[in-house]
Amino acid sequence: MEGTRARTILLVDDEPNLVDVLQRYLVEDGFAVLRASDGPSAVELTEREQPDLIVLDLGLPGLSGTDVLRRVRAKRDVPIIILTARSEEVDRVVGLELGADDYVAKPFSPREVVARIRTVLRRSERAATTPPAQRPLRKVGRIALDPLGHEVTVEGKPVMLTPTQFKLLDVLAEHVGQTLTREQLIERVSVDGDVYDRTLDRHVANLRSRIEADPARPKYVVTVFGIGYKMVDPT
Amino acid sequence: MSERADPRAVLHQIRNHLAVAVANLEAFRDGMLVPTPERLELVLRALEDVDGLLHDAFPRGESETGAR
Repeated sequence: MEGTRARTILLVDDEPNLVDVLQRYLVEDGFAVLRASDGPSAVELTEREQPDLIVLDLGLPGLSGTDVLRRVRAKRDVPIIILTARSEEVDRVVGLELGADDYVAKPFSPREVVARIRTVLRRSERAATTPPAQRPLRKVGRIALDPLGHEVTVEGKPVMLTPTQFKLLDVLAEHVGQTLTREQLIERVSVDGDVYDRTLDRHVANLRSRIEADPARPKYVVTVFGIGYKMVDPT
Repeated sequence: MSERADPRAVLHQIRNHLAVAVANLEAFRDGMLVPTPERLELVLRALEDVDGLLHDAFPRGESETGAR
C-alpha cells in the first residue's frame, strides 16, 4: 500500500559515527536510510534514489553543504534539514536565499532530529495531498498565496520563497493596508528567535526581489518609515 | 604556539566533538545503542578533543588566573 511505504531519509555527514546514531533511531522509527559522507555522493544519491527528505551537514569536505543544497534544490523540491555547528550560518541557510526547511544545531539530540524530520515530512505531505482547489488562497493584487501548500504565484507564475520569506508575506497579506511594526513582524516571523531587528530588513529586501516587478520601487510591500512595513494592493 | 586560531573555527570544532559525545550518550540512555567499550572510547576521545581545543584556546595562565 502506498501509505505504508517506508519514507527514505538521506543522511549526509562526514562524521560516520553521527550518521550511525541517527540511522539507528530512524530505522527504529520505521524509516529507510541512505548515507553519504561527502557532497558529490549526496547529490548523486539524491538523483538516483529520490529520498523523501535529506538531513545535511553543512561542514562537508570538498563540495560544501551549501553547494549541495543549491544543486539538489535546482533539480527537485525535496525537504532538507540542515545540521550545523556554525550558528552564524543558520540565518543565511534557513532564512535567506538557500531555503532549507529547518535546521538543528550541533550538538543535537537524536530524538529531536527525528521529531523535526517527522514535522517537515508531515508539512510537505499535507501540502501535496490537499487538492489545490480546496485550499484557501490569499490574494493581494496579482499575488496569490497558498498557506497550506507554501506556494506563491505572481501574475500566475510560481515564485520560490524561503520559509521565512513565505511567513513574512503571509503575515503581511493577512493585514493588507495595515502597518505592522518591526516588533510585530519579528515576533510573527521568527522561529526560535532566529530573526532579529537587523535581519528583518534583509528578509524584506529578499522577499521584494522575488515578488516585486521593481524591487527598488516596491508596490506591494512598502516601508512605513520609522514604524515598519505594510502590504498594499496596487491594482 | 603564540598564534591563535580563529575562535569561530575552534567553537565549530568543539561543537562537532560534543555532537559525537551527546548523540552517543543519548543513544545509550534511550537504549538505541549498547555502550560497548569501543563506543565508550569514542565518546571519551571526543571529550578529550574538546579538552584539547579548550586548552589551546585558553593557554595556561589565562584561564587559571583570569579575572572572574
